[in-house]
Amino acid sequence: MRRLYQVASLGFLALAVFVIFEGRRLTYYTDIGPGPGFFPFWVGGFIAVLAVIWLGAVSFRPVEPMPEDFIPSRERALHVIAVLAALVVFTAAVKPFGFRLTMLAFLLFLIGGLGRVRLVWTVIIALAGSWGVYYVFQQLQVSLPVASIDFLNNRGL
Amino acid sequence: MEALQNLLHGFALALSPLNLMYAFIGSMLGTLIGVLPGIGPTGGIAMLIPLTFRIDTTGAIIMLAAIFYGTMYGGTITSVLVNVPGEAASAITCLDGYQMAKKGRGGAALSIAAIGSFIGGVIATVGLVVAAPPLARMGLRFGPPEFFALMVLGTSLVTGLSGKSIVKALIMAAFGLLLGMVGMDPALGSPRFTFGEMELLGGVELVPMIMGLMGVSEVLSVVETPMREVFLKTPLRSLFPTMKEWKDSVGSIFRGTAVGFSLGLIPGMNTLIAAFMSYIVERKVSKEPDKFGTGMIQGVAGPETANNAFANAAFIPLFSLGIPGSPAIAVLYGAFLMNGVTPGPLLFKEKPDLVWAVIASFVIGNVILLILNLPLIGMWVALLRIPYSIFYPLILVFCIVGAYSINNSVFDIGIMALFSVLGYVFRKLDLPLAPAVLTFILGPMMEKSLRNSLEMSRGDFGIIFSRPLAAAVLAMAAVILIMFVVMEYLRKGQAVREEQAEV
Repeated sequence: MRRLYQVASLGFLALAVFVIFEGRRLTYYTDIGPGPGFFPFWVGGFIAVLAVIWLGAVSFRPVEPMPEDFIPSRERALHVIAVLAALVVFTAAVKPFGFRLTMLAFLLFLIGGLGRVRLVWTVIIALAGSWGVYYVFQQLQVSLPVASIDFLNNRGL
Repeated sequence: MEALQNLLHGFALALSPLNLMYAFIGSMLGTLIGVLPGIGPTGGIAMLIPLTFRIDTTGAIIMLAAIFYGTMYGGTITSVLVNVPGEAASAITCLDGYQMAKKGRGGAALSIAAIGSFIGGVIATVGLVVAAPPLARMGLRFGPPEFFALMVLGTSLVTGLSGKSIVKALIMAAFGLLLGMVGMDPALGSPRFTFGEMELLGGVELVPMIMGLMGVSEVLSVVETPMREVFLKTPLRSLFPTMKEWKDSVGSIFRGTAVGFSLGLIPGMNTLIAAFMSYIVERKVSKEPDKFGTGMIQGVAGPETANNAFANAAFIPLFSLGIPGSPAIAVLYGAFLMNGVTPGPLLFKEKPDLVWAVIASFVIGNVILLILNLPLIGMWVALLRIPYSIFYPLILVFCIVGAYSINNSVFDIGIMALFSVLGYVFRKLDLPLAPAVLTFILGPMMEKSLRNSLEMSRGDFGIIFSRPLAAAVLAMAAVILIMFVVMEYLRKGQAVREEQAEV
């Protein structure tokens, strides 16, 4: 746990240094008062001080042991990674393939693939979550993305 | 008298069929969020904001507020019947509520909780009617230094009360301030930290950020733990409390109202603290404190009343001073802004119809929840039997659609995904999320107040300390922070001594 906290505090320190430098590039003070660089400079400095205190505390003082459930089982960890990966793939694919196809694939993967729910239920829920949600939001005058790939777009997707 | 007239006018507006329907939908959705583990009120409200886009402002706010206090009712059901708190504020109810349910008194516990919540909510709303307008008039006399000091006080309370480490909480508060700085500078309009992205010129969008940080990351944490099916093992016989249960609950309900209402007035508090504080009070005043945890009705009545009284009272600082006191209220604050309404001292003057209709809707929403919740308990528990492997993908669908529909932008889905990862990592590192959410929303206001103060004094920081109210509030914030640091130091020292003694 100590090493993890050290990495995290160094991460915040790096963020603080970046903010201070970015803040310095903005105007610190104008004729009428503090400029856009004023607040970032001080907040960055504050984070830097806190990160150093945290780093010192975790390096030189006893650290609480890692909670039992900190590292999930291999299966559950892969599950979380798969959900996150699916979210990232969805974000990348929704523009070219449109909402309906991408969401259908997303739900088939999460419910059928990861959740191992029966195929019939998986298909029904995936269709409701993709075509169904698209229809409902169209009625609410919210247009969800359509495919930018011509072949799909011409087919109304 | 004027407040009463305004309130009656508010009732006339809130009782229109459409607004009544929004209060009903909000109450039901709130209860659903409260029932479901893996999504709390903050993430839940953020997730459902897009549903209100096509609704008029009054209806939208009525619905979102009903979602907020509806979660308090919903969380109780699963706490009592299946020992699973649907949201954090109901965690304490598990102690005695579940024990009562095991003895076949779950129905009575839920009835008392619902009635207590109703009484607490209505009394807090009356308090809101009485206190908010004069507070708003007082708020009109506040200058930037006073507002800055109040926001510092709220932030210091949230950081002090979040998690075990004050340093970690302060880091997260500063991280929230940092996120609030992305986009146009609030005074001069210069772009900051936008990395050349046009989409970031307006700042990090509130809804995708909160949905990722509080909603999706919470879903991931639940996905991480082995799935288990929840069954109602406890018998649900009668919903009617016995005469003794009524008698034992009356005092607890009124004490819970007092605790919840007082804490709701303080920026930085949350429902969890209100519920815990009420439980402590009940134990203190009880003649049988040792019996708490074995199924004492007071352990359900007090905390459940307190969290609902808190939920309604927390609107007082929001409506009168424009200061959101807790993360969930901060999200509601964001929803106000999205609807073109700025909460604050001028709200009662500029939008009297809206504000009084929303206040009246609190009473109506509480009545709806009281009438509908008890008969629908079976339905809510049945929902828990749906496997989480089906539920969480559907929650993600709502999050994705919600993030997208704010600006019709795929970029916002990316923002949500990014904050989902960050939220998950922060949870793992035990870094509290509440201070980041609150300061993300307060940040631009805080910066503006500070800069305006310094403009007034030509750069002299002394202006904040020379004005009596601002100085007193800042001193209070400093004392609170020092107190939390000392308490943490003493707690850690004691833990080390105990460890050494064991060795």
